[in-house]
Amino acid sequence: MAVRIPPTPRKQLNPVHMRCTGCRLCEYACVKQHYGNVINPELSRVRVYLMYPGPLAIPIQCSNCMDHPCTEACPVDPPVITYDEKKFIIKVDKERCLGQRCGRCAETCRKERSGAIHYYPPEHDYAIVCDQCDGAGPNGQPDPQCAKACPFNVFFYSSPVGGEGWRYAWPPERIAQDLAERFKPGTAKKRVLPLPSEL
Amino acid sequence: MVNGYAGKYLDVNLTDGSIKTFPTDMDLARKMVGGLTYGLYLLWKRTKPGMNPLGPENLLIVNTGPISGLVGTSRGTAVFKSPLTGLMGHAESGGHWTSELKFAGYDGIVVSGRAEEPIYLYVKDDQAEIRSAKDLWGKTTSQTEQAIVEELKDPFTQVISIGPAGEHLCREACIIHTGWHAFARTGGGCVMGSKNLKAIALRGTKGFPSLADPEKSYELLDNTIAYAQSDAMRQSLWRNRTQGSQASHVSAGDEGRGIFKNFEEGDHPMVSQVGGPRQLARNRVMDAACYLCPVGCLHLSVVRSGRFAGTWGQPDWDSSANLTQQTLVLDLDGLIYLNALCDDYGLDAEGVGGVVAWTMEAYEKGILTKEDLDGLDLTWGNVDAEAKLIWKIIHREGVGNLLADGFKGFLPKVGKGSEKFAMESKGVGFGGYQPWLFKESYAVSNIGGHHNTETPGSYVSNSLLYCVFAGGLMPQGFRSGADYYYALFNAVTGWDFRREDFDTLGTTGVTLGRAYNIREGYGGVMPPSEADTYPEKAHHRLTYGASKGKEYKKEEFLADRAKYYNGMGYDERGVPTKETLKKYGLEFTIKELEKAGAWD
Repeated sequence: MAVRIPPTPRKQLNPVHMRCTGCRLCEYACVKQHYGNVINPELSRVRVYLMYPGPLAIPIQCSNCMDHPCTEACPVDPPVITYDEKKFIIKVDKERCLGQRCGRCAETCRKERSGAIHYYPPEHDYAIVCDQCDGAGPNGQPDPQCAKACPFNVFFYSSPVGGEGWRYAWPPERIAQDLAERFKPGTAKKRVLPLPSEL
Repeated sequence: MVNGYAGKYLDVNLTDGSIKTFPTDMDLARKMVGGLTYGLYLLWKRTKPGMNPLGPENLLIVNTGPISGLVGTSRGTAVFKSPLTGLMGHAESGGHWTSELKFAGYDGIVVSGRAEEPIYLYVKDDQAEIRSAKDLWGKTTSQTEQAIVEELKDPFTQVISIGPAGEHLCREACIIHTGWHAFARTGGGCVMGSKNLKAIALRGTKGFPSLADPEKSYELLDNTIAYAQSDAMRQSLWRNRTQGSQASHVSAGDEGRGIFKNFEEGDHPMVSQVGGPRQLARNRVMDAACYLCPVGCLHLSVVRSGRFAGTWGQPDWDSSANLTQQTLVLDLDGLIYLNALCDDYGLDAEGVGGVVAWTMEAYEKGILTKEDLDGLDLTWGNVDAEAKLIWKIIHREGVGNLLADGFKGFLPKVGKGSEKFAMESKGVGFGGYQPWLFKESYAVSNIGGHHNTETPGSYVSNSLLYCVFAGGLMPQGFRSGADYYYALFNAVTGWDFRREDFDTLGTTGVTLGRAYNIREGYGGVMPPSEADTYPEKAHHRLTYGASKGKEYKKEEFLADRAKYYNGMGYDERGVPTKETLKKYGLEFTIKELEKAGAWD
């Protein structure tokens, strides 16, 4: 019996979390790509969290999971949030999406993955998800602008093994704890500051 | 038109719990622009002369400028009457709160009154509310931030808060944002503590206010971002990007402008043990930047082993120089630890470093004995004793209760000639540079012994609110970072400010600050020239290494000061002349200055 290997993406957005400074220029570039000349991080597909200890800056965007649980959570028929098998990206039908009052895809993503879906009612009340800037590249291919704008080279638009892609769709808390534990074991859960009386 | 401005201020009275708004005065903004200068104007107009800095009548004005929250400009200011000096006080901080405040639709927040119980202010867009902070009282700044974010269940909330130092009304207390961005100098945390205001939590979702010339603005911003990725950036901003201000430890020693042993020397054989390359190699784990800043001059460090293991800190030049070079703690782990201790407990590391160094010298000279210091053996370089003394200052225990009042508070009580080596001006300890380098700067500054706060240029940067550390951001066609900011200011506001207009703005700010100080009696020392002085030690001759022979003689200082007064349009006593006040549109100050006896 032949084993069917699912098609794997050639390119994927892989952040190197250690390099992120939290300057949020990726948010600026993302909003500019999707909405033109606006400065409002709420509209950004990539959000940078500041997480203690540190605080460490953790960029979170849709990982375009290959099993994409968000699409299964959509109550609309046919689903408004779908997975493009050819481009390996999540797509949203803005017109039909029920938005924040439904919110099931965001809830599922928050529970099971990184929580990279949000809404901006009332003007943009639909699932705001990273589409890897579909259509920005040559021949209508995806070309993530955040990767281009980042001055610290956090994002690799590369094969799935590049960057720190193994932290696949982790929530920001877990990434921060993982980083902290690597920098100094034992500091992930709480910030350790010895008291002067203990010296 | 209110381009670049959010258009309104939040007016919070903690005594009766009322929250109102008032519009930004655009005619005034045309003259005072925003940030520090506009904040000073509000402080002048909304307070009465001679008020108690720790009373409910004092204001905490958290303010932004028209270009705050764009590329390289994410800074904001806090203006208040300083409890440390009794004069005007202001402090600036970068981070993510400025943009969040503007996204919420406010140019600034004016807090007055005093709450009965510990509270914090939560601002989300048009909603603002006062919430109980009973559970937060006693928590450190990082704990406070985490607790508030957890309570509000919104990870993007930006918090500025005080630690136990501010709660105990330690006059050096500062306001902290995200664990290390500090509104450091002149005691803003103490003002917040006196109002029982533990924190301000900000959240905005409205986006940046409208721009006068969007095309030009975005072209400038995009060019700057593109420039940040080019090689040119790496050259002009290499130092701040790779090492940050911490690089100054070694270079300052090499140039003889370091500060060692309470300003005794400008160089030290062991200076390479702290800061700069060694810190980056041993302790740096991640870099950090303010909102939309491609520079990232902050280098987060962690102590990996030894007694201080597990300490997270972000040491900065001025603070770590005062905390460690000054006290000869040439131990990198100790440096990070002391910085983290001050940041976490909300104490101005720069100011308290000077106090500890003074205490060490007084101990060496026998002016303070071991009994006076509660048994602490404060010899030079004793990091344990220094940490314990800082702990006492934070909590006002024992001798800490005396030292927490700042130079102005404890020097008269100690006496015995100790003021001769107290490296302060008007109650604020010096920054991280030798007086011979910054000349009359520390003495004539409106807020006391801090550098770069006496020039019109500094008032311009603190009023538009841009970062001088990102001054290497020069997109194509600009000769300096300031030119880029000026062009951005004009594109954002739609005004046509030329270089001389910015100079006028700066001088207006400095003069208004000085007028405010004179109105407040110049801290009890009038005329101003009596207070704009250096302690005796600032004029001594340096003898070691690269600093050998460096000296800032008293005659030189007096000449520099006279030159400064003359250049700013002040008389020889340091009082602005009436012509100067009229020239800069500050006629409204004349009446009160006459009442204060400025020209008598």
